[in-house]
Amino acid sequence: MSRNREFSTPHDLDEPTRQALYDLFLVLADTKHLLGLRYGEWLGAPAIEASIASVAMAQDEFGHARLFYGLLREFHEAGIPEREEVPSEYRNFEGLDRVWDSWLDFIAANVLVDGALSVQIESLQNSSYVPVRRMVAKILQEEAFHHQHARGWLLRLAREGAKPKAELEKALKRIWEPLLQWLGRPGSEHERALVEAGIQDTDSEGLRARFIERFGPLLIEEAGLDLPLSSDAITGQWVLGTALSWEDWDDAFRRRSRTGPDPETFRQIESFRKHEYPVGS
Amino acid sequence: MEFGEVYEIFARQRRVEPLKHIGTVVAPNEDLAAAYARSIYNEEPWIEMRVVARRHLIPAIELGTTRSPA
Repeated sequence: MSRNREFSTPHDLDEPTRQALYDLFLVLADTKHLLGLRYGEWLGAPAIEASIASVAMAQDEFGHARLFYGLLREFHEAGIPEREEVPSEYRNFEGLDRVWDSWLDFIAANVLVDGALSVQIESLQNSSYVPVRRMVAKILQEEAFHHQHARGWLLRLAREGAKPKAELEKALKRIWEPLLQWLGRPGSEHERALVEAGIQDTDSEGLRARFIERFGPLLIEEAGLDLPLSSDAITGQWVLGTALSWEDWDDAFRRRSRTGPDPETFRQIESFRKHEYPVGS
Repeated sequence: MEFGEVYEIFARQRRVEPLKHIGTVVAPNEDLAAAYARSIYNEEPWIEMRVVARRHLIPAIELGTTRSPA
């Protein structure tokens, strides 16, 4: 088994594993970058305290994105070409492509997108890929704070009355399926390479199981929301009520379409990218 | 401004120091009290920060119940 193997650079990995890990890091970097951008747009949150917290979370996400972009450099040195800076090459979670319509979309993403990112990153805690292992602890510590904010707002909105609760449900449902898919397609080449090399500690089904075990109690039991998720009466295990459809799913991009962020968002990213991310220099 | 109740915030910067009161925050629940406290009181490099609802502080001497000092 791969238990004792360790990899210090992309050169140590075989070609399919190197590509799979590069794809994962780029997905994480782009998703955190776009999440940071969206969080930062909410200086108009319902309360000044929430605005300040949003900006603090934006700052964290940009920092995490910078770390993951930094990991890509060595992959480029190992022969993987740099991606072209066009929207269709962006690998952010598709729910971040365009500006959020309401604070409810903010909270839905704060709960689900931040949560899925955390579950994915937790699976790298004991990674055989040494450079990522070093940065995971600090990221997860900051994510714990994001979860506290998400949880606080979710419960507040869910208990504020029938209307805000229904609106919140709608916002959660808008990203529900692509988000669960975002954790990966069962049996994909990508997850097989990452799990076999000991880079990630479980496959996509394992990640989804962790995700619903963590969020089932909060969404269904505490918040009383109506989502396709329930716990088995006998085993207590959380199960998804809907089967995920993998048609058009792209394993490398973790998206159903390669459209990338909308033109307005891309203009913002572009101007930001020009400043470069000087990691470790 | 947020609505809700008042939470008292305690923090320290070094292990050898005790937690000391640094301020308050108003929030509708405990999770948001912690989230707000952490993002608002972020100038100092705290190693520990705790919040507690003011109503959970147990009164030993209450305002207005003691005689003014002689």
